[in-house]
Amino acid sequence: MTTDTDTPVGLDREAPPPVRPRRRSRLAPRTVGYLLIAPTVVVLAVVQGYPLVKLALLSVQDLSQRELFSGLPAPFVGLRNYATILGDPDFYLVVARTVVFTVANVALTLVLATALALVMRAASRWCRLLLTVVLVCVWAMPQVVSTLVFNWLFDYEFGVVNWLIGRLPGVDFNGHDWYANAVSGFGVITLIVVWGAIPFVAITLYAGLSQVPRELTEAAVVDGASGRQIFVRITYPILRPIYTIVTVLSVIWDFQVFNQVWVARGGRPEPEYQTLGVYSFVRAFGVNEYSLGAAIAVVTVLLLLIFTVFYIRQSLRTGEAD
Amino acid sequence: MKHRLMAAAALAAVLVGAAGCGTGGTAAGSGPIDTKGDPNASGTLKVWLQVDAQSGWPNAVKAATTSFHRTYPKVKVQVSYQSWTDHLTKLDAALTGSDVPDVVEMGDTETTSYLANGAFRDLTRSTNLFADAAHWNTGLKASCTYAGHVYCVPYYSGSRIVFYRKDMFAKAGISAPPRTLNELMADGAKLNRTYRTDPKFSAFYLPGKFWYSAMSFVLDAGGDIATKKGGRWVGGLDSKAAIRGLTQWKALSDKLSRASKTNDEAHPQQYTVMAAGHVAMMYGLGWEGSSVYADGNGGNPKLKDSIGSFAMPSGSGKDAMQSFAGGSDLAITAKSAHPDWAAAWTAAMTSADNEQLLMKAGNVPNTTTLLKQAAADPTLAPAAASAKDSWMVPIATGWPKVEKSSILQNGLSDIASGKRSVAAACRQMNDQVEQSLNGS
Repeated sequence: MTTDTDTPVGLDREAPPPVRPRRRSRLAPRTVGYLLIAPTVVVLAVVQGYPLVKLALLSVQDLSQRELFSGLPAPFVGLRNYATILGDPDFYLVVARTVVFTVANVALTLVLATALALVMRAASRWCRLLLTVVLVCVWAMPQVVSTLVFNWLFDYEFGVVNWLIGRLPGVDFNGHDWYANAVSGFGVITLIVVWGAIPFVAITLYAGLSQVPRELTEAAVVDGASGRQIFVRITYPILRPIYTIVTVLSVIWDFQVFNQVWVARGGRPEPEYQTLGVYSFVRAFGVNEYSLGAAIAVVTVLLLLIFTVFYIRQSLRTGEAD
Repeated sequence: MKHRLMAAAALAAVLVGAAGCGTGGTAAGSGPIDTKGDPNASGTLKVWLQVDAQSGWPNAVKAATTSFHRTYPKVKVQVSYQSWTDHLTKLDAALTGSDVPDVVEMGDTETTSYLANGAFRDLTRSTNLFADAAHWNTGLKASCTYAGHVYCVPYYSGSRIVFYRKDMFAKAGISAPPRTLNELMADGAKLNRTYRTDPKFSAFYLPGKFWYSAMSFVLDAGGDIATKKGGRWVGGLDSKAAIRGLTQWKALSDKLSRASKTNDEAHPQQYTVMAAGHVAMMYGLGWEGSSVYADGNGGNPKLKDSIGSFAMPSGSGKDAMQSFAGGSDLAITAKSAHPDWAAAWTAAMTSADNEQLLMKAGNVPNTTTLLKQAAADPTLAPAAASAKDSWMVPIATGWPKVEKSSILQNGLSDIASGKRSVAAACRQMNDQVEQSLNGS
């Protein structure tokens, strides 16, 4: 019935050519499309839209414990909460910390996952199977559980990592406190986050790699291209859409990091460990400034939205240039 | 695609949504509660206790439930144990809904904002239900009273004393426990020499975020956390006395402790560290001494005969260092559907018989009547004595905020690790405390 099947939806920059069915007896395809998408939209609106509206509403109110316990309506305060946040120097520090953390984690995740995906393509069948099983197991591990396990590994009193490093001749790692300074502390947290993020990215990239036509790489080899050249000139351009998606997803996840920081710091993250997600939660639920916390969450959403739109547009532009 | 992002939003929003639905939650009365019992009443009574009860006196919890079942045989009692770190956050979330716990344990420093905001049922006309209410421990009673009304029931109090390894002291040639802070430092140095080959050894285990210990040093040196002057809270942590006290505290931490500067006394539980055998002294709550050698829960039964105790010596010539008047109350939530069951269970948990069980576990009981008995018992005497001379946090509605945002813990951690000077950290803690107490 339709003709526009070649360009994947969402990636086409021009409007699809208008479809003009000869007979108009049935519902227009456009209407059918809306009908088909309606259930998803309804579910999304209820499950995600409603909380978001509530969140925005909360951010312009002043909800305190009293209203919370009694069910009384919270007074509206307009944009006062936003003014408070944006006037707080701590907030910019938290944003900067979050950006640095996100960049480091996303870069590490992408590099390591790409390496793993390439290994998987090159590996023998049983080795690939083993890798896949391991990756899926890691993926299936709940964040809280994996963080607790890492916590024990890096524990101050009883941790096996300190013990192991202490076995090296001449090294005394007894009583080494990994969280004593925020750089080494965030190192451990990065390890936990990247460890948990690799499986999804690696498996997705591997799936993409397996779609790269063998003839192309073989032809390049015949022409004398090095492995690096093949990856940069052939494999990467073909995988670019996939890279765009996993990068955007990784940024969103790492920018929002919460569980790993929260659990690693025993539910009481020090100020130097607060990323945006944690900061918002601490303000909202730690010190019962629910509306301030909501305003911080809204700002976080907006920051991510700006990044996502900008990044996707940018990568589509580069796509056009090729 | 943004489902993670939504999770945080949803969490916040669900709370608000729940708050919107929970209309009429304050309808709970303040009249007398009737606990005469009902053999046919059925349902579930939800009780939130802190983990201390789970590891320290599970027998008392069991006894209370047994006693409760005599009057309400068909009501199921569901006790869930909470950790001090996050129980208030969980409580806030639970109180917004209608499925609330009926009885909750509150630390005596945490109650004020909850009493002021109507979270608990007014028990002023029901105090007759609870044992020996006329002689309630004054500190605990004060923490339950707001604007002349009583909103909770004193449960127990605990003061801190030093637990030490008698065998280690003997090996280091120390014949009697120290009587002054200087003696303690000297004994610690002797212990350090004796056990210098043990890389994990701490003569005195003192984690960097152990704020109850640090504030005792502040009080001992003549300082205070904050005082109310003309309707405003004025912080005292940047005073010369406070800085002197915390400098002594840091010296103890630097010279005698290998504990983590970023941990507190409960993560890991310090008695489990002492049980591991590399610690000669720790500053613990009454019940923690017996937990060191308990069979299970991280205790080490081999140490049964080697744990002794003494009052923390003063650094300024007093008999002993003042201990924090720690303690807990039991409150009935305003939204509880069954205040009668809740009151009956609370009465059973705080009955004189039950308080005896708590005393045996090393706690200071909830009434002065029982405290006199405790003072006569040699094993409890040091704890009972230190309970008489103790300090309390400022009674201000803003105080829970100070605790929830870990102002003192984080400042002290910086002092212990040397990240900041005592004076600089004191100044910042003082500013933050003043800000929290005076509200924004």
